[in-house]
Amino acid sequence: MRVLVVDDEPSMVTSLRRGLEAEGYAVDVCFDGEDGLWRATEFDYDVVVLDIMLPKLNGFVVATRLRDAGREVPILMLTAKDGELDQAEALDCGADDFLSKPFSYPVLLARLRALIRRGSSHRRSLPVVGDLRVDIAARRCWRGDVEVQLTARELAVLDYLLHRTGEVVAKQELLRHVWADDERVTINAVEVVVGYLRRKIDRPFGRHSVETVRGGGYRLAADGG
Amino acid sequence: MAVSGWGQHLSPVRVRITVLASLVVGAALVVAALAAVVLLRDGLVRSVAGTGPRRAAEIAAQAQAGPLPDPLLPLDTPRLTFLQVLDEHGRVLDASAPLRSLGPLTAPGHSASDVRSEIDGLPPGDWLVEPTAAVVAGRPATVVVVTNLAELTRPVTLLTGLLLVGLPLLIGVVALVAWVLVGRALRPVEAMRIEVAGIRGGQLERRVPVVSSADEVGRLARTLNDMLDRLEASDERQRHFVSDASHELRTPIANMRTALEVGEGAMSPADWPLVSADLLTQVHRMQALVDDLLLLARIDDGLPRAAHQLVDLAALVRASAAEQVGGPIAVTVVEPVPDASVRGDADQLRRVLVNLLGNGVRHARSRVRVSLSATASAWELAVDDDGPGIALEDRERIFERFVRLDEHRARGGGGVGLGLAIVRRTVTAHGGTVVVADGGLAAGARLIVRLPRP
Repeated sequence: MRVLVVDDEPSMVTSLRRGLEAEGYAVDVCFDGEDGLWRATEFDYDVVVLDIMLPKLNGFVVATRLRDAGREVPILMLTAKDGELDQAEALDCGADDFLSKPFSYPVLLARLRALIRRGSSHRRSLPVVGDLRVDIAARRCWRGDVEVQLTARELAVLDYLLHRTGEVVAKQELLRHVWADDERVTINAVEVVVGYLRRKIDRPFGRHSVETVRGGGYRLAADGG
Repeated sequence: MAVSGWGQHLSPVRVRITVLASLVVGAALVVAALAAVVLLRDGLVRSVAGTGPRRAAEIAAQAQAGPLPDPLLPLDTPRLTFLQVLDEHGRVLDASAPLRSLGPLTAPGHSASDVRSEIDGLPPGDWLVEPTAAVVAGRPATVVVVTNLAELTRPVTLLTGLLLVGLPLLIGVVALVAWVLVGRALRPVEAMRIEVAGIRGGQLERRVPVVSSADEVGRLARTLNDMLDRLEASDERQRHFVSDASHELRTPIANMRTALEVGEGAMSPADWPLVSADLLTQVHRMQALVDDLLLLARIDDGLPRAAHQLVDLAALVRASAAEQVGGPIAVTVVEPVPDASVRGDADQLRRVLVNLLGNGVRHARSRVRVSLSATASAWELAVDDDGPGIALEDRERIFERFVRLDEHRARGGGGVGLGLAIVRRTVTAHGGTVVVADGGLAAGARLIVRLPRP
């Protein structure tokens, strides 16, 4: 999953980047509202973490303009200011969720996951497709009762496909959402990882859940293959 | 709006004014009434006082001309006055009809008047008996004029009766009118009192109703509303301050918490130096902020009693400038520096200089200039930088709390916006002023602090 963090506190940004990358996210950062708005408008993100007190444009304005531009990406807003008024305004501007600083980092992770789920067809925290089960928080995966050991990257790809179960996901899209910008990789990397994934979750079980769609994409079969 | 019934009716002011008004008007009326009655009686009595001699003269003239007329009095005289004419021996010569059978009413030669309460043949009541000497038919005689005082003073009786009834009524009316008017005047005051009594912390937007804006009550209402305006504004400022302060305090705490929580899951020993450096930065930041906030709170309470020492301003200036040596910005002190000293708190004044110089250095392109000079009554400290300067509309704003002009700067470099607020509060507490002026370096900012000379 690809996340955009917009916050002007270098310390917070560094911590979040480190933490989110360890969770398997591809992370982009911006330090002011203008930059954040541009990035979120230009590129696809699975979720945006947006601080309110930003230089140039504050978080409310960024969220409003993002919605006005038709970008539906889930937004989690952060603030260190008091008050229910901030919370109400955040939600009114188009944010999907709101956290007060200082916040609990595990809670932030859970809320991000929830927001990402909301953008997809899955509602439960353990996405299940057929007998394929993924617990993204614990980074575990099962086919039936058998646990499958996946690398972070493989898990990330599977998770993304899971959220788009039944839909065709272009290789480019997987590249954008699972790899960070500064990782200079090509489509080939995507193909390689999908290959490994199949070898782990499909082949041993005689299943074909990850389908190749001609025209350059993959699809996770709706019934788990 | 409901006004407490009995409490308002028996308001001491109302009772007092009504009683006072009634007493004063009552006393005046009573005095006037008495005077009127006395004067009227007197006047009436006096009006007949001259009758005696006049009548006597008439009779004399008559007798001169011929016999005394019969009746002795012209018929059109009301039954007020009767005459008796006595000869020099006191024998009755002639008298008005009712008196014909009476003996002489006075002794001859007796000329004093007196009042008799009963005279035979005449209706009961007071009669004024006035003898006057005269010459009738060439012989000395006495003309006695008898006047019906009771009849004469009937108007007085009438008046007295009227006053006895009318005065209490009048006083009653006065009392009623006073009661009603005072009540009417006081009602808005009570309404105001109730409104203000009901205003609690969260309701400072309420105002007192202004009914009649021209009179004292209206002025009171407007003054109360002005005060409520000021209270609301002050409350608003306070709330902003608390909100800003809470934001500035929570941010470094949030940074530290997230750094540590992320570290719990995703940190290797190699990461620790960076993380610990970051944590330390946040701690310093919080410490500086807490110090600033406490300082502001302390200044707001007034200068501590012990802090009225003589502070060497010149030395402070040199020391603060020296601290900046070695940095990227050149800080120069303009010579000569006068031997300036002021009365106050050395630590706080040092803080003023640190903040001013720090601000200058933060905004300067390459240099900051500090100068100290004397005016007639004060020391003038000027700090100039060659940075972008301060726009006219910001020149007062920058002294407010948590105001930062350069939003673009990363948080780590700049302060939270309390530096100049502290400068202003400290300088004010020391009896001085701090303003932004023109005339810095290039187009840069110029801040001038004036402190009174001891």
